[in-house]
Amino acid sequence: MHLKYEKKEYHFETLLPLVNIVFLLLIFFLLAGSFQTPEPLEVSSPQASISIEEAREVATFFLSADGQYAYQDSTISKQQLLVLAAQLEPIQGNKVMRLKADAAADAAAVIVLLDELAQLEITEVRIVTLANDE
Amino acid sequence: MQLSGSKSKIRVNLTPLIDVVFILLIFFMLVSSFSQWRELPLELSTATSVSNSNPSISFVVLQRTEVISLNKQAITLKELLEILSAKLAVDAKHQIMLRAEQGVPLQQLISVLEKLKALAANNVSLAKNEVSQSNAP
Repeated sequence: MHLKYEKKEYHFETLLPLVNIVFLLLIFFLLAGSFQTPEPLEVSSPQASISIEEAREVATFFLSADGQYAYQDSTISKQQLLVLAAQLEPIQGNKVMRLKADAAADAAAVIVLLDELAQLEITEVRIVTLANDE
Repeated sequence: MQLSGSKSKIRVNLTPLIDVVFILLIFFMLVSSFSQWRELPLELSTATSVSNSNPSISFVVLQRTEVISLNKQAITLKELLEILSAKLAVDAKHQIMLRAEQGVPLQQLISVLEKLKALAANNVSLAKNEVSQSNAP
């Protein structure tokens, strides 16, 4: 049996609009996106419209919805968190820390934690929020 | 003048370049984050005790059922803001004690806190329990 084989000429030019769009998408993601850093706990922050931009040098502690704490790459107990918080280096004379707590975390537990941190001479706790433009 | 030259057709294969661009695109799509992270600063001070019968202080309690109470009277958030706004108009340093019952999500506390901040309430304290120990943000 002899199959008829028709050789089609390949036109690269027809793919150019696709390549253009892909390049534009690439440039968009390069410019508009920022790299996600891996976090020790899965935390979805509460939304807020009144807030300030985050500063990099402040130590970040995590609190999940089920009450687990984490610092850097490992989960820690509340007691360990308090020990670490007590050892924080002051920034411009103030002991500042950042708390990235889940929106569903127990607010009463957060208030108790804030009280305990105040007793350790922590002067400011920054609660991480998600910008809410509403 | 006509220059004579042989027209040589050099075909550059762009397929590997497109492959690499696609891979880069997929990489940036996966690792990029468009979330706008912000911070809500809370200034801490050491605990002080206040009497919850003090008439010059507004005691606001967030309950699990999304009910808000002001001085032990259940009200809506809108009513709370109206009452506190009136009190702040008279006394800009009016003290507000905000307490959350166990089980109240942090989102609710943050929402009320930012609404109080929007009212220019600068003297808001977070109360730890009903006995009335607090730290002031």
